[in-house]
Amino acid sequence: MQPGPATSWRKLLADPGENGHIVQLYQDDDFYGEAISHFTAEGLVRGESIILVATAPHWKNIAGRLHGKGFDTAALFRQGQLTLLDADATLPKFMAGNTPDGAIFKPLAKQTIERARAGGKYPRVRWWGEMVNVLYVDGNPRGSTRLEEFFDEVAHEENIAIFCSFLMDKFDPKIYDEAFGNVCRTHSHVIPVDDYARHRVTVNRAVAEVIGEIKGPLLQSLVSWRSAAPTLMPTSQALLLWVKEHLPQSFEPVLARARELEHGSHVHRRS
Amino acid sequence: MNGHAHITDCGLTGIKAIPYGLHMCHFYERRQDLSETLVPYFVAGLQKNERCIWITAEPLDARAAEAELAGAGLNMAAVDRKGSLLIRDHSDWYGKHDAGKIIERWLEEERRALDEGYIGLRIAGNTSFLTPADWSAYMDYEQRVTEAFASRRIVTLCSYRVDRHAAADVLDAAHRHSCTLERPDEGWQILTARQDLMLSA
Repeated sequence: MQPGPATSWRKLLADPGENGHIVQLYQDDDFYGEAISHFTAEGLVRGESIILVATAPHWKNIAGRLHGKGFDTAALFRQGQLTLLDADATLPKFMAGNTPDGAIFKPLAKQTIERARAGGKYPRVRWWGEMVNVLYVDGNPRGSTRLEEFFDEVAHEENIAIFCSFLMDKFDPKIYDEAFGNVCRTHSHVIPVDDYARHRVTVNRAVAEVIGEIKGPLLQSLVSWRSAAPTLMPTSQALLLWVKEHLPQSFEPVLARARELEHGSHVHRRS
Repeated sequence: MNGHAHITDCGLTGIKAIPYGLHMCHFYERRQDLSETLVPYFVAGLQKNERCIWITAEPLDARAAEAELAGAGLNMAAVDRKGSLLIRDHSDWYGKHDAGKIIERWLEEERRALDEGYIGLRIAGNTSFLTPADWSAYMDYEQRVTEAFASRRIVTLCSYRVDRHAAADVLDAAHRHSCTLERPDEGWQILTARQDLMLSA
C-alpha cells in the first residue's frame, strides 16, 4: 500500500467548503499567524473575497505573513478582495452589555459580506475573525458562545466559510468542563494543534502510560464509543474525549502526562 | 443483482446472520484467537456457496491457514478442485497498487464469483504487516472499502493485532468499518461505533 497524503489543517483551511465553520485552538503566535495567513492566501488564490476581523497587534502578525507569501495587502484592499475590520472597535457596535445582540450583529455581518462580494465580482467569501476569542479571553464565555452561534447562523444563511481562533490550552482540563464542548457544538471542524502526528504520538503514549493497554472492556468501550460531539477533529483529540467520558479519573493524569511529553519533545527538538 | 437472500451466516457463535455489504473488523491478541475467528468464518462461507478469499499475514501465513482449515475438517482437496477458496499472503495480493486499484480488484472478484454461480464473496485480511508509515493511507483505504462494499454481495472481516496498535489506532480502525466484532466470552457480539468523527489517521 502506498502512503497517501495525511489530512492536515492546511488542507482543511485551503478548502473549507461552503458553510465550513472551523476553529483553531492555539497558544503560540506562529501557529496562529500561519493558519490565518494560509486560510487567507488560499482564498485569495481561489478568487474569493476575504474578511478579516483582527485586533491591531494580531493584524501585524497576519499582514507580515501575507506579505511574506507575496501578497500586496494594500492593493487587495483597493480591489475590494480583502476587508479588514478592527475586532476591538467592531465589538461595541453590537454588544448589549455582556451579550451580543443578534438583531444588530447579523445585519451588520450580512452587510459586510455583501460589500465583500463587490456586486458579484467575488461570489465566494470566507471570513476569519477573533471577536469571539476577545470575549472569551475577557472572561465572557457566554457572550463568546452566543456570538459564535450567530456566526454559525450567518455562515449557513450566506453560504460562507468561517474560521475562528481561540487562545485555549488543549491540555488544560478546565477547558473540557464547558468551553471545549461549546466550541464543538458551534463548529464543524476543530484544529486543536499544529502538528497532528506529534499530538497523536503524545496522546497515545500518555494513554498507554496512565491507562495501560487497550483490551478487554476498555477495547469494547472504545470501539463502541459514540461521541456526543458532532465536530470533526483528529483522532487523538477524539481519544481525549473518550477518556474524559469513560475514564474520568484518568483524564487529568492523561492530560498532565501528555503535556509533559509534549514539553519534553519541544525541548528535545530545540536542543 | 440476483434473487439470493441479502443475509448470510457469519459463522461465529453468537452472531449468526449478517447482511451482505458489511465491512467488519476485530482485534486479536494471539495466533489462536485469529484461527478461532477466521476458520469458522470461512467454513460458514463455503457452506453458503460463497467464493472465499483469505489474505494472510503473520502470525498465520497462507500455509498455516490451509492447515487450520484442514484441521477443522474441511476437505481441502475438494475446495481446491472447485476453486471456491483462495488463500494468499498479503505481499502476493496487495503489491504496490493504490487503494482504488485494490478495491476495483475486489469488485471484479465479486462479479466473477457471481458469474460462476457463487452467491457472494467472503473476504478476510490480516493487517499485521502494516507499519506506522502505512497507517494513514490504509485507513483511507478501509474507509473507501466500507463505502464501496456497502451495496455489494461481499462480506469482509479485517483482523487487527491489538498489541501492535495504540489507542488512537483502535479508534481509527473501529470508525472506518461498518462494525467491530468482539468476543467478551465464548460468544461473539457486534459493536458499532461509526459516526465519522475523526478527520484523519
